[in-house]
Amino acid sequence: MNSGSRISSNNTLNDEDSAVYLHALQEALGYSQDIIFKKLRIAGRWPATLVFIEGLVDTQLLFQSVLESLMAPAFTLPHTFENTEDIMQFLIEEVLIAGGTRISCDPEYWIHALLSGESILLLEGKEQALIIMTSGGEERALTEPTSQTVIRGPMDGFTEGIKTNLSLVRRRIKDRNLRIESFVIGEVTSTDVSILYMKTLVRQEVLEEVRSRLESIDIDGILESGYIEEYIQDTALTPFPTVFNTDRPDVVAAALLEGRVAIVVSGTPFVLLVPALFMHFFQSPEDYYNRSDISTLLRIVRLSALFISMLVPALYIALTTYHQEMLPTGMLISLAAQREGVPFPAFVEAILMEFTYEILREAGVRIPRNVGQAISIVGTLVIGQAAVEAGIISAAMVIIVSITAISSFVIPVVSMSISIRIVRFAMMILSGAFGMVGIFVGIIILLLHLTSLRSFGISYLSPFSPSPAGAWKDSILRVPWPYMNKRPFITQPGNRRRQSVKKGEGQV
Amino acid sequence: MRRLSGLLIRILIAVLLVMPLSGCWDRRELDELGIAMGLGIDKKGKEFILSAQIVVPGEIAANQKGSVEAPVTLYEVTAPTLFEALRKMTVISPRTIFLAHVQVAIFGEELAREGVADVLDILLRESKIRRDYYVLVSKAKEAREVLRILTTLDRIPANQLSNSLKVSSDSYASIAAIKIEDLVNGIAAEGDEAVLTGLVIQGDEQEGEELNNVKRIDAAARLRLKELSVFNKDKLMGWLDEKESKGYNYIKNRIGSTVGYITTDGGTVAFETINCSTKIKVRIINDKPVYDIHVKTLSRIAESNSEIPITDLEMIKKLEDMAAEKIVKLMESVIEVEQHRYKVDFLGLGQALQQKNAKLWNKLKPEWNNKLPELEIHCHAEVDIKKAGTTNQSLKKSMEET
Repeated sequence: MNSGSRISSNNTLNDEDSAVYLHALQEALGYSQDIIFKKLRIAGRWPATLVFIEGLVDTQLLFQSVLESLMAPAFTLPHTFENTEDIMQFLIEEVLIAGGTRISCDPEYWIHALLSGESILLLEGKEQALIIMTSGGEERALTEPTSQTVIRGPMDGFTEGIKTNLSLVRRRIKDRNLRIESFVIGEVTSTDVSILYMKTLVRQEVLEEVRSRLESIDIDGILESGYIEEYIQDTALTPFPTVFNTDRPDVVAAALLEGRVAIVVSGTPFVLLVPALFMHFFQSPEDYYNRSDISTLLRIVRLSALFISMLVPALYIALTTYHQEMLPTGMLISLAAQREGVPFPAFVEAILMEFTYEILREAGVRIPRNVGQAISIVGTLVIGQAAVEAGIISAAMVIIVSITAISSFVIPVVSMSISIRIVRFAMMILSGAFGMVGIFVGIIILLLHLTSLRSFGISYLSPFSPSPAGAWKDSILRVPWPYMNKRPFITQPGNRRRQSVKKGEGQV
Repeated sequence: MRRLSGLLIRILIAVLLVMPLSGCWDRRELDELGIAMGLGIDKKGKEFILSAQIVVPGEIAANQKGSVEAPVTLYEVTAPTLFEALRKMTVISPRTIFLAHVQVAIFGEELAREGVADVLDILLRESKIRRDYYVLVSKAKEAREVLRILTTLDRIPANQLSNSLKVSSDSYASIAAIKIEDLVNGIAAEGDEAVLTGLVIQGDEQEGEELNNVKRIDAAARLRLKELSVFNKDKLMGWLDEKESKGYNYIKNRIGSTVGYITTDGGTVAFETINCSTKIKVRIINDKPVYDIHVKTLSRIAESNSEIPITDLEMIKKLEDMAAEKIVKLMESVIEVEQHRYKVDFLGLGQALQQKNAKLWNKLKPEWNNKLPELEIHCHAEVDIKKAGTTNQSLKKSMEET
């Protein structure tokens, strides 16, 4: 450790010295009330001060493994010590039960350790301090993940504590190649950020890119992984997310096994995964737990939902205001009958209703839970039924808005369904101005844009374009596990065999 | 990079500003459209009378019950050209006439006899009309009179007509569902003339125009599809009766399913034709075409009021022969019409020859209609009775036995 030169040669206690250190510490931390300075005598002989922050430490651990052992009269001092380091060493090796103890003489480091929940033992008259790992305190218990729910599958979700989160992944992958690298990002918040990867599976260039992008972040505070996401994404000029986020440890474990990198940020249950491809946002973890046939079907349903939620209002506008000849006759008459007496053009009607729905949705998210019922009553009755009965909105439009809304919830990852909402409005404006032509131009632009996107060097639209051999096995399709002999193309080249080929063939 | 994004933003703003300038060209809201379902075309002197059956959407809607208005309205205008008539219609209609969903076009018989070529031009040229609607000839009446009759079940009369045409040509085959493109092809083709299905009002025409017509169980007036009319080029020549119409459909291989019966000593037996295919074979003998028309049908016994033991294979064989003979007779009756009554090749014999021997056809073509009576035509039919339904003997037979 960084000891050495400044050690005073005599062992005599010097009250003034210690007072200076304590005072400096107090000064630095601004006499905050939650910082406890506990004076004690080690083994009844050496006066010392234990500094810790209430609430950040595990009190029980502190009392049982630190204070009790330090103050116990049981141990006897074998001899006098040559220098401070020996005392410290003795305390670490023979007195303290608590693990993770180290010596430091850098007051700046003490403060950092203190703020991270560690306790500092200052021996009076000594320049060095013992830093004891006691962090703990109140933390939210493991709960079911809320943003991506499954019927079958693990029910534990990440919490705000980074240690808990890392352990949740460790428990799933008991392999020495699982590596965790830690960063501290944020001038003021000093947020712990860890990246996780499988050393044998990750692509080196992706890993390097993640490291360098993380290191280049210069911000005062990181309060959620979203901050990091915006710093490390390839381009900001896109409505589509190029970084995946999840609060499910099983998703992270699966991604690591695919050679992706996870970024865990302290203080949020949402873990980032890179590279993130377009298709990843339409895959639910449940796809891999359910039988493959139903999973494939559900993926087709989700992709259809993507198109429904993106295009249906636009198509409605285009068909009813430009291309009436494309509708079946019966439907045209039925729609025409509904539109009798509706005062707005179809485009205005659609924008109005979609906007109303967005308001309702936003209200639903923001509203305090105990008044939430009011929203649903107002939403369904007033806006749905009454608007139609009053003749302001045609009934078909309500159906369109409902189907779009429901479809957008089918997309398993919220960040993608948000993007689709933005695209939907753009499509509606295009179709309102140019009809079907507008929609198709919009789709072409969208496709061009999607193909140009990259996530950490990997094409966003792969495995569709480009389409590496075998990658379709886990895209729209989800073939049974025994047939997925190779890991996805995101993994490190040369290490793609997931299982022996024979086994897969044997189970045909 | 910054300069580039600035440029992009400027382009984006320019594009966004252009969008409202387009003024939404060609935008038509649904409530600005008069959806025409049926068109009637008549001729009065040198002018056309165009009548359009327009849907009143509010009356058709599913949730409207106990309506007081007619489900459709009829606009009639007279103009020297049809295109002018279409535009002139806005004088009486509050909405532009939308033609993409026309189900049927009806020609008055008078117009049909004078020739429909003038009318067909706009129907083909106009890009806003589809080419898949049916064409009918209103027999003895003017088309606009037919379009006034209210119908029930299908409340839009034009819809009723087009559905009726489809169903009837599939299951009874005394009529032909001719679409506008078939008609044009028939008129334009060499050695094959067009036919059109006729349409009549059955019952009291005056009452049929009242809303009361659809309030009665037995409507005072109904629209009824009549047999086929025969065209020479674009002019209507005359009409076929039901038997001849069926014969026509047999020869033209247009039978999907139909009904036939034979009378035996013990009563009648009815057949349902399940499958039917016709081949016209042409042989050239002494520079003259000889036609063999082969009909092959698969039938089942649909009704038996005779004492014939159906379980007897010998008997079935006999029935098959009798049924085949009946089909031959049907075909011969229509060939008789072609060769002697109208002397117009609506059966497409010329086309069959052209495909077999184009040289000979080119030689015969100028005088083809006059050569029709001399043609040698043989009809053959083969009936295969496969099923007898869910019972064996007729009830009549069973009664006798007990």
